[in-house]
Amino acid sequence: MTSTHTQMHKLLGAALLAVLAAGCSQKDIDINNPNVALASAVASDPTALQLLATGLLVDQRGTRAGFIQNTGIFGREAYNYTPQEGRNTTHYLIGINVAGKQELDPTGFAGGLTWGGEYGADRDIYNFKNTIAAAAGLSTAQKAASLGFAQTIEGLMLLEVVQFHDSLGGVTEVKANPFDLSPFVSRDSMYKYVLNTLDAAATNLAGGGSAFPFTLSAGFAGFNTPATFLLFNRAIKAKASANYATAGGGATAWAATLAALSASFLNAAATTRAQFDVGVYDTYAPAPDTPNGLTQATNTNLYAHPSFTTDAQTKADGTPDNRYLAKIRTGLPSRTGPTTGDGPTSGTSTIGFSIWPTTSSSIPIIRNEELILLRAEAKQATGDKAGAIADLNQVRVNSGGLPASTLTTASTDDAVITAILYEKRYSTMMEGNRWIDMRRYGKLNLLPLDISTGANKNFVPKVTPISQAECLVRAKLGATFLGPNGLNDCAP
Amino acid sequence: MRRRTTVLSLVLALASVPALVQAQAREITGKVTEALTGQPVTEATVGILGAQIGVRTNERGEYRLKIPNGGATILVRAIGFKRQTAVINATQATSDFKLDKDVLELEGVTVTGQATTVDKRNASTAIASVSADELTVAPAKSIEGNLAGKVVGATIFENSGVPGGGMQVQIRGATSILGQGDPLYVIDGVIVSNQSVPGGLASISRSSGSTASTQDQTVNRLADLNPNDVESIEVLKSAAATAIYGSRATNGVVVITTKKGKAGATRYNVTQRIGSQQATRLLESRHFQSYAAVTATGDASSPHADSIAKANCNPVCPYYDWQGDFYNNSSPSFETVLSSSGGVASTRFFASVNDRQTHGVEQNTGSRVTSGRLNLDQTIGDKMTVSGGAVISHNFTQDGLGNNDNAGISPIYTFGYAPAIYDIQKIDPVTGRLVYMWMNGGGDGTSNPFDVVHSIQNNEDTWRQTGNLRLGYSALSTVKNTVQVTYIGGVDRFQFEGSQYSPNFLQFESNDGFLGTSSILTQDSRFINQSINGVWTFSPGLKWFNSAQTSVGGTYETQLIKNYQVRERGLTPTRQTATSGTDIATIDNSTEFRDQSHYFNEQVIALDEKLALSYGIREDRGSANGDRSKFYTFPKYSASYRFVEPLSKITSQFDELKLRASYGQSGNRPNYGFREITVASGGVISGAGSLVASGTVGNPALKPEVMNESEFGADGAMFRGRVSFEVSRYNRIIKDLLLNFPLAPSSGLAQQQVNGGQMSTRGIEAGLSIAPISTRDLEWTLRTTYQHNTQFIDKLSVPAFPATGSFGASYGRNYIRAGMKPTLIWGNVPFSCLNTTNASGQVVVGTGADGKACHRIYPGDASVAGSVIRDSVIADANPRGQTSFLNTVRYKAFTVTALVDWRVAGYTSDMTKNLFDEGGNSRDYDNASPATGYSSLGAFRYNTWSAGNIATYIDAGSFVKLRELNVSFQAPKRWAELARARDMRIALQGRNLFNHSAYWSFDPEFSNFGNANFNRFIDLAPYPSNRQFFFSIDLGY
Repeated sequence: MTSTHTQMHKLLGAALLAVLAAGCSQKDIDINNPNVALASAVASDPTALQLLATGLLVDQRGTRAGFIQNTGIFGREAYNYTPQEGRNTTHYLIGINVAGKQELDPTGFAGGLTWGGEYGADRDIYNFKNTIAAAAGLSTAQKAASLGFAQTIEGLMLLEVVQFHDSLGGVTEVKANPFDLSPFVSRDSMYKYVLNTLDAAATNLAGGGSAFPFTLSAGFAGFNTPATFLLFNRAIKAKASANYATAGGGATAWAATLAALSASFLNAAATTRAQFDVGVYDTYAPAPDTPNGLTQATNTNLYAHPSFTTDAQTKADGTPDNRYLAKIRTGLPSRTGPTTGDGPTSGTSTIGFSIWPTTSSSIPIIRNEELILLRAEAKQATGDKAGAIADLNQVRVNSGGLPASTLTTASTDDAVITAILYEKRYSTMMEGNRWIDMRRYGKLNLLPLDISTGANKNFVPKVTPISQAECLVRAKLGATFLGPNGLNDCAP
Repeated sequence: MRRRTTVLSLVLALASVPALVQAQAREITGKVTEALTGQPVTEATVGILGAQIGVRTNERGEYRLKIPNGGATILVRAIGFKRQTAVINATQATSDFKLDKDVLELEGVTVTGQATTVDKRNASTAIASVSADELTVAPAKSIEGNLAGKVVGATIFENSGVPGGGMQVQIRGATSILGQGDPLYVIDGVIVSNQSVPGGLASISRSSGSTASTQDQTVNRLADLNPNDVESIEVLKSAAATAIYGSRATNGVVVITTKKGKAGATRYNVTQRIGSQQATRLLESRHFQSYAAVTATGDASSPHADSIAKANCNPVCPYYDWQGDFYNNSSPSFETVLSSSGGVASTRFFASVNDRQTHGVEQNTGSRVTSGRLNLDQTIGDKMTVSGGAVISHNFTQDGLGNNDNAGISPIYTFGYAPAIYDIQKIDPVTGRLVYMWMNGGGDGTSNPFDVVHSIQNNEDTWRQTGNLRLGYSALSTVKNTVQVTYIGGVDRFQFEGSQYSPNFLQFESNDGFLGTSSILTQDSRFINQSINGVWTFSPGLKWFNSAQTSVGGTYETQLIKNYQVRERGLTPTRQTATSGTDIATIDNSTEFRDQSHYFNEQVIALDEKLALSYGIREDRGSANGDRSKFYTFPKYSASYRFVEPLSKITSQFDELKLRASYGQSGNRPNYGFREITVASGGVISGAGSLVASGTVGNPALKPEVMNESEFGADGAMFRGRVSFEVSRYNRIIKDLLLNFPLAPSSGLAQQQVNGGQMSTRGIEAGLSIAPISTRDLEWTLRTTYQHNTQFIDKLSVPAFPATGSFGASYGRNYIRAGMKPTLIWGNVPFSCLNTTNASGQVVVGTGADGKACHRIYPGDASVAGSVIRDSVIADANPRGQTSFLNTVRYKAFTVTALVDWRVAGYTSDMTKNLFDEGGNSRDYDNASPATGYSSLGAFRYNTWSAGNIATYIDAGSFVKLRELNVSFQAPKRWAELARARDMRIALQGRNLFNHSAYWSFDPEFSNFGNANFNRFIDLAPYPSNRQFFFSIDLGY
């Protein structure tokens, strides 16, 4: 018996040893994940600065097409007729009924727009700033230039946020700990933060030496040194100031707009297409780059609003506005949104855009043509009606091929603003302005509603709601993270 | 006739058979026969009661056993028969045994460890096993189909009617929200892959992205297994049973044992099967009564469609049975199974070859599985055994088209949207091809399904090799002690290739801006697992202490999966290779898990085999955990006691009653790639690469989910084995759930996977087996099972969120919310209820017009007055109960087996109906509206839905299905002799023959998203359900 037990214990012991030998080396399970780059590895890689800088440009570009398409739909420039998914049309045009009021559905297709992508860029800007601060190999000027670059993109991103959410306000800063949320601030605070950030960027760019320590993308050609990038920075500042001016910033903001314009690449004497088109662009290309998703070459669901045809003014020869002819293609197969038992949900259209002919067509971030019209707005607002009319005519005649406007200094303010808005509508067609401009001047009610009565009644939203995702997290993290209306559902 | 065996029993038998060498021995001989027929029973084990050793009967049922001088009690056991003991006196030299058939399967053993088993009657956890006979009542497209309705506690879903596979097994409800939801499949000791590989149909359908999606009608790879090779399947359900598989076991473990060779003359078996299939139900579509009705749908908006409608509808429109013509493929299916088995005592083999070719009801779809298996068992000397198996299989499926679609190719989409008022099966004289689909917009957002199904290729091709090896060493074998050391190793690898081609000329092709799409997706999978086990069994031969078994061991497992896909669009005509495309997308990623474990396990049988105790612990660590060095422990405890004498004193009709209780923990390891803090590639701009923050923030503290389960049950037998029953009640508490903490979008990041929250499942399972008649000529057995469970999210450390894989509030989805059942379907519904806020700002839930409390939707509702549309609970997707009836009646040579499945409730989001209504095209569209203000029933449903009340498409999924039917005839010898065979069996088999359900669409079991923990109630344009018929001849040589 004893010997049996001893034998058995030996055997069990041997088995255990075998197990230890076979299974207990931790090295065996310490495997790498080849699909990802470790943050720790990137931090110590000297080539990372360029990659991170390009990352900001990719982030910025990533927000652009959506921004343009969404403002386009809200501003009655465009339709998204995705036949397989009617909500792409209806959720934008009809929304939901909240307490008897039409609103965009924060959980729907048109909910949460212009938010996550912009703050994603903000996160990368935050990380980029930290990388710059810690980069031992950069000179003071290089650091300043890099910071100015990042701050300009930051201002641009937050401008997009406040343009969409307007009275709802937004969040200005990301923090190191993603669970530590910045509070919501008012629209006024948002604009002030944007303007201050852009000004800080300008200061940094001015002291940024002759070159960035990284290369910018092709869309920044002509604006890719600290000095020339500053011109772009001022253009964005001008646009942000003008937006702020109509959102409570008033005369000071208009003055700041004029100042920024004069420090930008504004060429008010532009007469040729090339001169109007000077500016900064987001570039696209087929994979592995990103193709332009709005192009007629691949996007067969993006249609133009028929009001472009009816509203286009005619040249002396009786043909429509050159900008209409250049940007609108006609004779497309007739399309409409889904039809419900209550009838159609949208108007029909047979026109589309020819603004982006290929998947490699660029989308402007800001162009000289817009700057001239911004100056017209600012001049009009600061009492220089003649100057405003001159600026709008510069565009109207040279870009539109139309006869000069009949406006005079005797015309009403509203007539001048309406005229500027017409020029902006055709000059910056699908460049993200129409819906926002109409709101800025209190004219959303003038946008055409395809279906004006009944269950499918269309509406124009004033703002887009804060995404439900944002609200739910804030609610979960506790009452200190209240939404703009004092409740943590952050519904509009 | 094949009889049941149980897992590992053969291996253990091998281990326990070494010759007894003992002084002063004598011999006893005898014959073991079947009581009813007198047929010899082969491979029965004969031994001294309580001892570890014995001998097996030969082909003639004879045995020769050495026993010590004096009297003894002899125990005889055989698979498929009830055990029998006989007391023999000191002078007796022969003893014959006549065994009764074990029709209710009370005998046999059940798995308790990597290398241990216990007698079923001493099992202390609920047992679920399925024998080969039960398994192969009617052929199924994948072996899960063979299990449906036969495993109490398991819910088995068919994802769609696609041939070739695509099924899901869920044991005792979902155990995880984001973690692995599939049971662990172990075949002959090898952990095998049951990966659902999205084949790449999304590259054409663009259902989600434009490469591959879970909506691709995916086939899970269990489909590669040949069900005819399976000897038995055992399903381990409770945590106490699955704890032996540690951190991969919360979803249960399905232990599959394949057939082994039997010593004796080589036996051959040939089965030839021929069959056909038919759609179980098709949806038809609206019969349009006028041109005006067609134009009102907006589907004939183009001038050409309008002219067709005008011309055809005079005044009533014709009706073309598009679906009937489209889903009418009844091409014959064939299956050939060849197997052979034989060998001598020391070397035995089982070999099989199987070729199964089936067609789907959708034209141009089908599958072909070909596999070959060789299992060998070799005894070396009297201490070593070597068992090995090797399988090679090839599985080719033509999946056809179905499910969600954003391109206009899913046939049900077209049938749902387009009025069936003109002939789409005729050739357009201009193009020489089938006519365009002019209805439903008529542009490139739609297509003619008859053209598409023949022109588009959507194939999946899998080559698979699986091998297993088991080395057993009997280190010690005495009357009282045995020590067995076992090594088990296995490799399972496959290469999957999904390929799609959509030629340039198809109507929809220009829609995405590129003519032609082609994609090839490859998945390479390699699973390797090894374990070593030592088992010491101590049988002191005492009545009050029967045996103690101690086992120790360890495992090492690796799983490596590599994915590659190249998808190209904008092709030159007929060319399908990547380089010809103008828009190319590639995918290249890999997943690898490595896990190590060791365990200790003790099981004790005592008090005259009445008391069984078991306890053990397993420790696991793995590469997916945040801390790779840390071992996570999974203990288990269980006990059972059989009451025999007290009952027999009360009534002789009660054989025995066993009460059992168990508690155990098992785990579910973290998902791949959530532990490291990473930087993502942001893409390319102007040729320059970029880095951006990863939306998902790595969590270095990730650890496995832990399930704590307690189970109580009773198993009983009555009327001398004529009736048996089992009842189990379980309570599962799953902690440290893997959850995504969604970071606020304003943080610039998306999520972090964390452990937190708690989910619980309470359920009941019951089974009743009756053998009312068991005579030589007439046998009848009936097995009924019932199951129900309720799940709750007890706590949630993250904001409530909709379960992944759904379409949103307009279509219904499961919502993970503390205090709520995760199986509830949430969606938009209108409310008129007013909540208020008290002085301290808290929401006070108000009372609605119906006198009930307002639903609290989310904080902030206090501000909403009047009628609002909010995301709220509509119904429960979890059935109220599932019952199955398995009936077998044999009269002489005829046997009829029928399996009926009955599900009560279990709601479904019928988005297929929504499609038909949206197209103004559902078959009952013109019926009267149940409410005023709507022109018809279809308009009522759709308009109610589109106004924000989706309840009109949430339908009860109750059904009664005749899942399986088998009518077989054991042919007389002389028939068999005509084919020079030993025996012959002829059978008619059917699957899904009958489905009674008030459900509107195809089948309430279907899931657009394939295998999923939640949200598997969404029915969207699936490949239709179908019934299959087979005629088979089985010849034995």
